[in-house]
Amino acid sequence: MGFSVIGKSLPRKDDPLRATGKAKFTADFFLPGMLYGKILRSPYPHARILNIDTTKAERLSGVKKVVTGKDTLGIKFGVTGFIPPSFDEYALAIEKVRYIGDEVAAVAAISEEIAEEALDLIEVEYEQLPAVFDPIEAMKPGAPEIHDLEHVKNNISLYVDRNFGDVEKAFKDADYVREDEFYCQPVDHAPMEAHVSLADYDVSGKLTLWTSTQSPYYVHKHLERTLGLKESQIRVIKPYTGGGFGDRAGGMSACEFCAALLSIKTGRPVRISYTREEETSTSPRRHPMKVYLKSGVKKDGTLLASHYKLFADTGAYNNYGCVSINIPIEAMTVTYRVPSVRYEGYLVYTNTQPSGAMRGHAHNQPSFALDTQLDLIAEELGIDPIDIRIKNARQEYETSCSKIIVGSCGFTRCLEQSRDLSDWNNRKKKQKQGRGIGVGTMSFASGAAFNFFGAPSGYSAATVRLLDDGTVTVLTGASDIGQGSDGTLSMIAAEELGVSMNDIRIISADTELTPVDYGSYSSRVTMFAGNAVKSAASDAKMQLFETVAKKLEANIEDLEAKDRRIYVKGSIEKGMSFAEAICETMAANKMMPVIGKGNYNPHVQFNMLTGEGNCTPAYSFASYVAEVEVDKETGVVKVPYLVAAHDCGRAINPTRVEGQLEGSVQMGLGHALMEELVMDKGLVLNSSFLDYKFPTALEMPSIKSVVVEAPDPHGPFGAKESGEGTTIPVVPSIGNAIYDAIGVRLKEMPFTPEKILKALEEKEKRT
Amino acid sequence: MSLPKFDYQAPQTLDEAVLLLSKAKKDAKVIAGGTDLVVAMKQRRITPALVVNIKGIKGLEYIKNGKGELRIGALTPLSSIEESELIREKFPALAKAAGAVGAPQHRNAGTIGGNICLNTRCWYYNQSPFFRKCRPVCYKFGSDKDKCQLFPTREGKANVCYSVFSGDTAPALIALGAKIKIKGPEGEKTIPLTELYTGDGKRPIALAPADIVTEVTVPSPPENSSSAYMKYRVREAIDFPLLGVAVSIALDAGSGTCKNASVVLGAVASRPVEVTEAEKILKGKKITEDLIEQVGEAAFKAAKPLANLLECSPQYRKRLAKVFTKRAIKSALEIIKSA
Amino acid sequence: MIKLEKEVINVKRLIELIVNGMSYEIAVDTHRTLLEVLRDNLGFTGTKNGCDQGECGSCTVLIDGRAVHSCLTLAMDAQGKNIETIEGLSEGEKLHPIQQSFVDHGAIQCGFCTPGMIMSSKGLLDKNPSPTEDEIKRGISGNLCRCTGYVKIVDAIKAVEGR
Repeated sequence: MGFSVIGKSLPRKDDPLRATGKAKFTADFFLPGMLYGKILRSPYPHARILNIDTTKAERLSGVKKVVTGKDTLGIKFGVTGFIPPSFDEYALAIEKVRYIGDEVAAVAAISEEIAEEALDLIEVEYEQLPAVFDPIEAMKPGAPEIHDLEHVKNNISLYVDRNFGDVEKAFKDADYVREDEFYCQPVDHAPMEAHVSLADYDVSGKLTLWTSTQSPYYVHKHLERTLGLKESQIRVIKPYTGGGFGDRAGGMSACEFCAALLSIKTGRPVRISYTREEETSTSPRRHPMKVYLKSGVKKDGTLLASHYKLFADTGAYNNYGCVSINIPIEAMTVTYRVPSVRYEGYLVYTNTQPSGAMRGHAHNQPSFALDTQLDLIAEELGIDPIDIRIKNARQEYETSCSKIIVGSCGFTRCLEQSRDLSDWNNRKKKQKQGRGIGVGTMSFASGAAFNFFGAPSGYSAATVRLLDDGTVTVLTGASDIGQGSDGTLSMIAAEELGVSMNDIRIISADTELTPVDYGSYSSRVTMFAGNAVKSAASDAKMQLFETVAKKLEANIEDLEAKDRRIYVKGSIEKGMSFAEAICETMAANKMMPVIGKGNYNPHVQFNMLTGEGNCTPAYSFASYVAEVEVDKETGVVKVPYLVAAHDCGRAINPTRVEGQLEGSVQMGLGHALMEELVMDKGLVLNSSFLDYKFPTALEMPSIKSVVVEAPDPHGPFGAKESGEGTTIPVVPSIGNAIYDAIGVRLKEMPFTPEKILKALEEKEKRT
Repeated sequence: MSLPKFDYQAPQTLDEAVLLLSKAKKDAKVIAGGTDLVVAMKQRRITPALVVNIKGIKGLEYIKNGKGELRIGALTPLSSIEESELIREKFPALAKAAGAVGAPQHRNAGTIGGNICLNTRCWYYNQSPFFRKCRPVCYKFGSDKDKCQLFPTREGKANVCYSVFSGDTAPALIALGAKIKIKGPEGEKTIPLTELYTGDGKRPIALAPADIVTEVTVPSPPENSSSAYMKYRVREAIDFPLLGVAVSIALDAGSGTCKNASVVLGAVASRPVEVTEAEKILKGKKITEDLIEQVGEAAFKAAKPLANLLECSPQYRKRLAKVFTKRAIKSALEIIKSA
Repeated sequence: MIKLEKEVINVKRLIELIVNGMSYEIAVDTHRTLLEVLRDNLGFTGTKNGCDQGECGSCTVLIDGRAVHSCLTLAMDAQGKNIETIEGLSEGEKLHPIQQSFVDHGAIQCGFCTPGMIMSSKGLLDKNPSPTEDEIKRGISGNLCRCTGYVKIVDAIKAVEGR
């Protein structure tokens, strides 16, 4: 297919603003009369609030307002409205605090220093309650009850038990069955920009909020609910935002709520900037999980059955948890053609920092288990690790045991490419001491079509306005948090309209101006917003075609928009310029503006009761091969080389896709080797960037990224997701490579030098 | 987080600086690069009433190859030491150690004087005001009556702080036999660098309130000698050492036997730890694998870290002391051989 | 009578800061960092605050040609020195070659670390116009980026024109 724009590595139009420091992030706005907000947080993991005395704080010169839970409407919020009990959190605590860092009060003052000083003057009387920090302990009878909710017993917020196929029979039929236990540690998103929100409630009763969010729409809806405002009273704007990775996909943060509430109470703009410590220790983390996996296979390596048990620590609140505990089904049933799967998932409250969505959301943990166990099985059966994967690899247009209809699928090609480009077969045979290679894989949804708020339609909507000089304004609610959606969506509009990317102006993520879009999470933007923009552009184009067809006395079907012209296919001279076509269309319609409307609302059916069916229209796939070097004396692992082969349907912008792969490798490398939130009785001990370590440029492997294109009919120009799923294969590929290098198998993340030495010692004892 | 308020002075001469410090009624702190102190102040671990910036004092930034010794002005940035051809060639352990400090930005701002006076570290101490609201007060942070929360002493016994000396250049300098010049109210004195360290984590640096380190001197290495520094940390930048080993070795030109050897460990105690056994094992002998193994074993014994860093266990740090000591010796020998 | 509120009751000092070749005379509290003064007093918000403790490099500026953390530098200490921030690199619409290379190579994702990353690159390239890949990685090793995996950043620095 001959594309003009798609497939080119074009920078975003506003990248020069980012390169020159002109791009304004939320903390870069200073409004006249602006106050600075700070949040008082609980020092206890579990306590009843007996009394809060704010008088001293209020008396401090420069303090304009102190708010507590009593100043709120006391409406609970969360992320997922479709499972009603999952709303379990107050933006400011009422009666109880449930983790160290829980929000108790907020102050607005004329400087950040005074606001900080005021926090120390707020007197809170607590009655400490017994606390529990481990999900397994929390489930035991007699454990402290964290939430007094009718549906919650033994701190289990949600339990799901899914059965696909005949699992019992399949295990009986298996030639080989093995069980393993895995642990995935809590990790932090660690975006470079910490949460920051600036609220301005004006005399007309309108609240404007600039905030570092992945989903202005969700923030808008939650503010509406929790503040008792009308939808039209609120405007949420996402300025330039410094990364997200799921950290700011959780509906609404206390940062946003408190800034808004303080602005309403003072009538002045209020900005709250989280410190790095607050960012790391109070905004969501990835769910720590214990994973039990039992698999049954035939002698030839054919997978027959899997039985997973997941214990997910949701921390003090659900946040995304009720989604998180449902979606691992995809990881368990889509990547490989396993005919029967049982999945038991426990979402458990503890008195720790809440867990949320994070890049690869709830797939990383079961995928680590599966990819590690597949290697164990392959070894037992004497099969090459990549061969066993190819044998079981999902193929295109199949239906999984969980009744998921898989669309396009280049998984086998990914496996083959990663094998060939890593020189797998040769390296497997002759590897230097302490060197090894390993494979990791994934499938991932191109956007979950969950409907969190019961909105009637329009998961993503967009409008495209054509200006009379031939330039185009695209309006989309999609949030560019760094991944590049503004560029991708501009390219999609340009391609559809046959203009250059320079002709496109994009206005995004402003709930007053832009059509509804649920935001940047679940790797949905290219698929959802991309299709919405494409359909809006197409709608506008068809309006031009109608005019041009009349003018030229041609058939609409024979027209083409390309190179800033609209003309009869095959004869470029028979047509007119894009700008002329716009002017003619306006003239023909009493100077009506030419506006195209579009939306995307895929018809997928996920059954909440059985867990069957699709959450998404299409899946991406990937296979990575990592090479490691293990120092047997110190246990230190280095990853010199990694091949990442990824089926993203079609790379709208290859450089951006590579950027997602490379960024994912860094994150995965961190998770594999060094990242972990260290906690002592609910207190995060490593909340700084010095102590919460993620890789610098010096730790990065040389990466060979390969884009495998299996265009999907649902995707805009065939595109699927890229960016979330791409983190998943990294950890197992490194773990499997460590085994290849030194013969020790690590089932607990991260693979620290000490764990490696310990495993080596145990291995020596055995032999 | 903003810094706490303080009075600020920027003297132009050393005498003026010493006078300001000796006159200061309350806590005064000297600032040069600020990479250690500013963080401590932001975390409210240290809240001085007066900050005396000595960076404006002329003539304290230099690297000079003098008679039989290398002289480095205390205000010399670590990056200048790392990049100095002279130091790279003659004092490789020092160049390596300076280049291993933090990140480039720390080395550009941080000075050699500041790096040797680095405060000790412990996961319980290097924390924020919020942490301190959640946990009992730390002995190093609090008064002499407060207890260490990680290693409490028995009732009636004197408290001890085991926080870790985490400087990179000090072990290298000690291995190279460095001395430092200190200017104080009573004038100038020169002491071996090793005497700068008390070994007491609560007050790790043996400087009087008005003392300022002005110069570091290192004797020129003999022929047939070299040195090495190896550092273990999780990332190759930004991080403090979880273990540092500096080695300096001189061989007899004729026989090839060891004339002098010095092994100094960093990040295993509240001060740099000299592995005194090392010279006893090596001196006068041809250095063999077996002897290197013995020195490694001696380093293992000399290292007595405790569980006060989050990244790894004391057992691991001890084990690394052995591995890295052996590697550092081999690295130094390699340099001698190739010269 | 109007009750006056002062932001911070402290003695201010009048200092001169030379930022991107321009001299600014301002009154600052002695406890202000250069980062605070650049952002809050002078409006140079291109310099970012990522961790506030010298652990991420987002606030990197050049002082007398050397990359340093402005969050760890006292404004008082920067008096009279040559301070370069990200805003000083481009001239009108013309980007500095490093900035242009970052744009061209897809080295920018969210852009939050970018100003600091570019300042570190400039500090490196001004001193060493043809660094090896390892020297580049070491040069930016104090600048954390969570989006790019550094690959395109290293590519961009390698390809800077006229380096």
